Amino acid sequence: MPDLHSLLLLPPILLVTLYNNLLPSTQTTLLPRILYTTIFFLFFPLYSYICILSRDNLMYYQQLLQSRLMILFYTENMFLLKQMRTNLKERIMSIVGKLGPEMFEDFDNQRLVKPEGVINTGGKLKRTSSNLSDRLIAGKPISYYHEIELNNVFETLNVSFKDFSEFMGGIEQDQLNF
Amino acid sequence: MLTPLGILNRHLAEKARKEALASSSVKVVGADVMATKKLSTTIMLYPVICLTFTLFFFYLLSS
Repeated sequence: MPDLHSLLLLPPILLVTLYNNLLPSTQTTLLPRILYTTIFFLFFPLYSYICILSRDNLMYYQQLLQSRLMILFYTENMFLLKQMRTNLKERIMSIVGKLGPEMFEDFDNQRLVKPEGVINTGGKLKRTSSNLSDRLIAGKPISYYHEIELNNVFETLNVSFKDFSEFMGGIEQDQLNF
Repeated sequence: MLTPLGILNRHLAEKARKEALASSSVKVVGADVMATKKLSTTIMLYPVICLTFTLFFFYLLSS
């Protein structure tokens, strides 16, 4: 009984023999063609994977660039948006702080998002020591001066800013300050 | 090289999304339907595309 491994070698040998007999003119190019095709077949998934990764990163940086350009051309609106978000956050936190204890027992311990500058010490909320952002210079926090500094840097670029109410489609300023 | 697969994926996913949105009152965007359709289509068609390109490459080498 022939060995099983030798049986496995039989089909390719037969194939090559048949090919050589039927098409003797191209017998020299067959093996390199098979070799190159095998390499192509093995590396095609890798190539696809690299393509997908590069496209993902390209889209990510494109979106990042869009936001950077928006910041460059609408700097004042960026600060306004930041202020709106801060106001909204404070308002939501105040509503949650007001209504939370009425709805849940032991609310202060169980809440996941704690108010800023407050730590949980065994059921009692205690304000932390003042950090850098809490320090005041002439009655205003340091972040206020940082924003002014940033704003001046962008204004030196001589970029004309659109009116925010025009940009937002006629929304009044009072409506934006929550 | 993967563009045909991408175009077909997008078309089939959009079709599945519209069907899902029409038949359901809960779905708003149908992103999960799109993702499932894209994934299943890719799993089915990627080997076919891989083999097609390999055969095409084999044919190119002969010329």
